[in-house]
Amino acid sequence: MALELTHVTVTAGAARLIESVTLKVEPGKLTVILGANGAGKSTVLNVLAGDLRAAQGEALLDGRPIAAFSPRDLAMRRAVVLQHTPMNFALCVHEVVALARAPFGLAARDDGAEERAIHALGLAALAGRDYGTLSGGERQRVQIARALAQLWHAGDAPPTYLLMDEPTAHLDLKHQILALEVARRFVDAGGSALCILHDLALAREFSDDVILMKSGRIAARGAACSSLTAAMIAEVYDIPAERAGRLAMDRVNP
Amino acid sequence: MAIGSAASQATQIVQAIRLPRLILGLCVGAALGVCGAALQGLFRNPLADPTIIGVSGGGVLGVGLVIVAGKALAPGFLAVAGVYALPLGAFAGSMIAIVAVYALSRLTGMTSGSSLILSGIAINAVVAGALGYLTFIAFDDQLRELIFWQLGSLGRVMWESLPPAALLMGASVLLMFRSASALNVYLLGEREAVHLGVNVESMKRQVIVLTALGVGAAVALSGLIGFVGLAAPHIIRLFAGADHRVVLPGSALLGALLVLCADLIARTAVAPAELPIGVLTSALGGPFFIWLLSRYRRELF
Repeated sequence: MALELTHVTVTAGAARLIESVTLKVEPGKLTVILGANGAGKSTVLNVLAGDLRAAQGEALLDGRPIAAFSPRDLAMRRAVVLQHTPMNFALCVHEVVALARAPFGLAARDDGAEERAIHALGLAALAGRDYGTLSGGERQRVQIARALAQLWHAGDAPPTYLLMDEPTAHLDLKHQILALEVARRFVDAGGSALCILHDLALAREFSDDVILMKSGRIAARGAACSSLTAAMIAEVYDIPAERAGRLAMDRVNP
Repeated sequence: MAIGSAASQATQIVQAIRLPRLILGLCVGAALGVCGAALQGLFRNPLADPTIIGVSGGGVLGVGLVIVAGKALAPGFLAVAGVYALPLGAFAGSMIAIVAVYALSRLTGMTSGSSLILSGIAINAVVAGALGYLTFIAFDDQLRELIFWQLGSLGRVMWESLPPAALLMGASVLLMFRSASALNVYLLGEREAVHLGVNVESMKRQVIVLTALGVGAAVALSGLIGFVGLAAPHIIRLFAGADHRVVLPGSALLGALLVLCADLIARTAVAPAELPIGVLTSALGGPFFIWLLSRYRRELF
């Protein structure tokens, strides 16, 4: 049971967006992808989400090619949070989160998944607000709540996958922590999650596994404490080792 | 005796003239309202409307081609199609226009509101040019026909032509309701909709074909009636929110109501003469569109 890539290469014209990437998103684990802009992080997530096809290699969900799933079957197994989701129409927060029911149709259980997700992301006070009037950070939390509700509707078995592309990008510190705590709890309850992050401290705090990407390839992987070394950070982000040394330590003094 | 004949005369007027006109108005209004709402969902743009993006114009051009050039260019088609020649022309014109607008807006970027409106301007310009040419080469009787379709009117309906068109418009309206939930999810975005299990390509095909059917049939019987597809969904959204499960049926009802009211005014305002209904809806719809533009300018442009 896993969402996995085996030696996956994705091309766009002559360019190789990612090359021979092998990774596994497993139940009970929160995997974080780190890397510079353009390193191929989002491409990996898009292949896992089923949006992009691998030119070479295999992308599998529980051993079956992702491309073999219908959009609806995939939607019952994995949820995706993208970076920007603007909207010109006046759906309220609760209605947006309730779109999570779409793949399940009338079979969706009325077990309050939307309300719980809205509460989990601290959106209760905004539930009736027009989505279009929200700030970027609030919209992001709504999308995370929507994805969470989608997977809660799917139930526990078989395991479900939460894929988030920079879920903390527009969030303040409090809500960055809240969003990742939500992902953490989802994983602890048996789900699997993959987040693209830019914040080393958050990655260290919340991840089980870290994958560092550089120029379309995986440069390093492992538990955060072992893979986030000064040398590795200096290399992946192409920054001076001395600065990376300070960043690899805990950023905030006790 | 005199009273009886007056009553039977009234009955005849109602049955032969008023009733088909009423039914046509209901169908046209419902079809335009629903197609407008669905187009706005399809383009994720609250300014989409069959007239503004050129779908109605395409239909009128199709009708115009049949009227002016049909006999010369495709006599076989006219012979086979008979009374259905005009509706077929309208449907084909609407279909080509909506596919062209869709392809153009994809080419220039779906998310931008201005690209859709600019695509509409392009299509409408082509339509206006072609209609201008048809007007130029038309004979007098053809000319009158052409102008009738460009101005729009419910006044020409007869019992014979009503059932097939009403059936098409009814089917377009009712079948469109099935896409309501998919359109809701699609508001989030194309990729997001796929992530939520929507078969986006099939939904788009359905909306495009049903819109061409509904608008084509409406144009075939009543000509160009603008802005109903813009106004009806907006007023519903203002009061009931953006959920398509409410917006689509609401727009059908309100669209029908708007067209009937407009027709009432068109018939009575300058009696005994009659105002073309399309002139009336455009006169009211233009300022409404300006108001919408000012409302959405920040989000869309």
